Amino acid sequence: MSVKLSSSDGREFEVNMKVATQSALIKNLLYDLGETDEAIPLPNVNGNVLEKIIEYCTHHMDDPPALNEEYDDLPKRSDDIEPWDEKFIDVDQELLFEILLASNYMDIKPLLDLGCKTVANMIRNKSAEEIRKMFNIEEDFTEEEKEQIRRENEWAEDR
Amino acid sequence: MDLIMRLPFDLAVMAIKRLSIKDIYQCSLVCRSWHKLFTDDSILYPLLLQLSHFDQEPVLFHHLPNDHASHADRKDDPKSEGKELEESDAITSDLDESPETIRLKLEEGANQLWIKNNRVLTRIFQKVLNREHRWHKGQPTTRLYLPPVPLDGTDSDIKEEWQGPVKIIKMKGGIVAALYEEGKSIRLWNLVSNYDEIKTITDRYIAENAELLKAQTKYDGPALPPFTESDISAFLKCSQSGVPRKAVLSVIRLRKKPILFDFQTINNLLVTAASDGDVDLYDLNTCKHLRTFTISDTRDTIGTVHVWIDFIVVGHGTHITLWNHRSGKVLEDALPTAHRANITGAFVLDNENHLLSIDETGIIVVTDRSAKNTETDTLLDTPMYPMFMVGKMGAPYAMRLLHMSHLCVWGRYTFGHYELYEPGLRNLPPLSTLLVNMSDDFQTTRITEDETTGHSRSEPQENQSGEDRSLSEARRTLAQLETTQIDLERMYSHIAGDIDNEHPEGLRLERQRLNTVPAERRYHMISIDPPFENGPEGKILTVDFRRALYMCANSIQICDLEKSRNGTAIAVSLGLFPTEPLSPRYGPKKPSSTGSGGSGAGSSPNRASQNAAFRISDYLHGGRFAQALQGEGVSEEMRRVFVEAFQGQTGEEEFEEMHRVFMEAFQRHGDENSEDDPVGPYESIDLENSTLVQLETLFMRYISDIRGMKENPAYIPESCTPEQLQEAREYMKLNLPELVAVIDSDETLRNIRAIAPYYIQRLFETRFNKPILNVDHRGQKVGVQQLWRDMDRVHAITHARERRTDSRYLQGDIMPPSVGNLRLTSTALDDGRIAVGCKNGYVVVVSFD
Repeated sequence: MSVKLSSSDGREFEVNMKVATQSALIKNLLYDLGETDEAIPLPNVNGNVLEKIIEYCTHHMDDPPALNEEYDDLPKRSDDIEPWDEKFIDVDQELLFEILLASNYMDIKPLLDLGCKTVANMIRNKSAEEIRKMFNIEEDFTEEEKEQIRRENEWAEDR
Repeated sequence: MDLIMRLPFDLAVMAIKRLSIKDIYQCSLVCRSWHKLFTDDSILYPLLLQLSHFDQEPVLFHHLPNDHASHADRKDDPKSEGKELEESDAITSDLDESPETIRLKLEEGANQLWIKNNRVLTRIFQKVLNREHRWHKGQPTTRLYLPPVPLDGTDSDIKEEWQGPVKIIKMKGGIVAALYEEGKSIRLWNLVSNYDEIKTITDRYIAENAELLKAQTKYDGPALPPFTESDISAFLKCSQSGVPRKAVLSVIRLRKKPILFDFQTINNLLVTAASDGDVDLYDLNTCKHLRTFTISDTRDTIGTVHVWIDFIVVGHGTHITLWNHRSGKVLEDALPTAHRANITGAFVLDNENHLLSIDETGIIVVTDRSAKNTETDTLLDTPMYPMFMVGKMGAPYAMRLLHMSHLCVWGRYTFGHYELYEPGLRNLPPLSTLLVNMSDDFQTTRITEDETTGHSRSEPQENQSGEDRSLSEARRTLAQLETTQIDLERMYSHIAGDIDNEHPEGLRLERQRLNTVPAERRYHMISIDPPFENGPEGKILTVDFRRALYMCANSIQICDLEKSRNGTAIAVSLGLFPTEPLSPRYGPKKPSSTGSGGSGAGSSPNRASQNAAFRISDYLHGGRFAQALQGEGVSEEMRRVFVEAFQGQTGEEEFEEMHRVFMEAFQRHGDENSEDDPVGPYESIDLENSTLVQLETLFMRYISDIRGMKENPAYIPESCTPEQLQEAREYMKLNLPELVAVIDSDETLRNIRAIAPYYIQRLFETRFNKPILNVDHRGQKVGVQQLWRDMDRVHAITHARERRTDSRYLQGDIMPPSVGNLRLTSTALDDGRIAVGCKNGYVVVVSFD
């Protein structure tokens, strides 16, 4: 059994029901609407991103569903990315941003987690200067602000 | 705009939650917009809450969601009450309405308001950040020396109340409690008295805003007025780092000599247990005795006592006795458990219907009080890695239960970290956090074995194959969890086996197979230990979720568990002696890898320090310990002394012998395989990167050899060639001049060895940019000679015959040998400090704040 999805740029994708229902958004829509031959519109997701998301959901369609995460206050790991996922998410920052937004909109928690882990890994163990380079950011502190930060963080700078 | 700033705020927070505080600090320095984002309280507050699970920072720990708050939360949750709670004693319902609970809720609300203030939050963030940094370097800010007897600085101030070495030391909520060998009293030091002003402000705020605070819920509530500027200033002033503060002493005179004690700061109670079965309860504030309970069956030795909220739990033999100390009611009188060995730790779990206990073989049991049948007790399905050295080698096991869900367990040489989940599946976390990476080798072995031998899988696995489709998602998760754990247990039994037990695959696995309690009625335990193959040197002293303390010689090794994810321990050394910089006439001179001693020019100074490492852990954890002990030529006597040395059972008299045997055993091994020499060839020694233990080992060898050559010109040095030894001596003359002066004197080798660690530690600490502050019990900065003098005077009380009159001591920068008794006997740990009880009765509190 399959379901049709329509992206914001009008592209249509026919996917296996198991693939589509990894998105809680689509799962709920199908539950509310019942079976339908019409394509489900996803106005916040363009075709390229949707294609990528379908690739992810297809690969993971037989995974056991994740349980609700009740332990928000526990430390989160980000060093446990599977090799396939790591290759999948090895994309430019623009596409990573789009995938994060889309996975949030479509409510695909494992993909959202993967995106967040990837972002965290881009930052981890880097200096401020390295982070600036990574994200192409210009330092815009004034001298006074720099001085104030230094003052505020004199302990943190204690070496 | 960059990726992070383009993300919706909630998504950015989701990603940032995965960063460490150090990462967040670096992010805050990137640019203006990042600074604003990364210092936002919605980022920092959850991070600090997360840390406060294990953090003992008083303002966070006392009243933010902690054990007690968690307990109260669960009481509000109808699902967690359930049938079992209805059946339990009515006393538990008293807690819901108790003024104590209401007070705690109000304090919790006020404290949350404190740390939501941006300036306070930033201060705490900086403190935590700095503290982490200092822990990683093993460089505390202060060492506070608390004497075992009253001292006011005059020669007649000691009233002969010395009660022997510290037997047990505990630290909770900023209070250190020490029990001494003679057991006449317990001395308590409040280390956070500087927070009194904050407490006064908080109490005033609570009184003014009680109704608003009562109306707060976890996520919502009426707006609260903020603290005033002067309140905030007071907070910032009293939370300054590195400022010496007075430790406020109170003394509890004990009714009877105890063997164990415990205390809690939530309702200020202290409980002691005597060998005859008397359990006394004292008030921490008034130091008065409140009541006495007696264990009816005194045939078993008491192995543990614990006080929590209204309960006192005592483990004796394989039984547990439980009282409600408020009502005086005996809730359980020698309740039988599923343990087969003596219980060494016991706690009351959240719903009070279950008791968590561990025995001296490392088995963990949850006893269901309502079932009254040991066959239905839950034997927790723990892989117990890396506790494969069970039995006599690992015992006794101890444990800490934090936040009622996080369990640290440790034996002499191994430890484990677990999350504990109550019966039912509601609380199980996502599968991704449960799975533990296993090596490819093991997975291959397992598959092959299953195919060829049809190895009997345990019940959950059989269920999984037969009923897979009918299992709910949660059940499948549980089944997978259990399978993972069973696999792990098997893996470790393949590696080592429980050598002391009759079951070659391990007693725990055997017990687990016999456990017929349905999964949904069991507590579940999930190992959250990272792979940890090589621990640092020595015996484990205590453990929390972020660090493990080891003891080797007279040094503490701090192992940062968060840095050990790849299986290799990173440890830093910590000395206990009060040191100060080298006097100007000698230094400072940093130990140099290319200096005149240690490694000469043209040698290989940068040969990895790992080659020079004194790797006792290799012997302990890698199986070579056992191999070395069982090797030919190792006498029974040597085995005994060696093992006792690690178990801390050697007396002072045996110390010399132990040290000799210690060296002999490792030397023997080094002869067999030169690459494993504990210190390494002379040419390879890298003093600058050596740990304190390595330095001490090295210089102790030199001392023996230099002394040997002095007494007998024909003596052949063991540590290096005579030429190299001369070079080492020159180095020591430059950097350890006082020690060389003592070596050259007629002092006994024993006294030299007592004195030497101080100078070696001082040399080690020249690598720090800032000296560590020495503080006495009055909260005053103090020089080492004053502290030496006090310690020497305390020593004189019990060692009058040995009282020295030699004027060299205390005058020529020579430490009296009596100070060498600053040897640790007991330790306690929280996130800001290490408290150490010593053989001379002193308590040393090493602070990283």
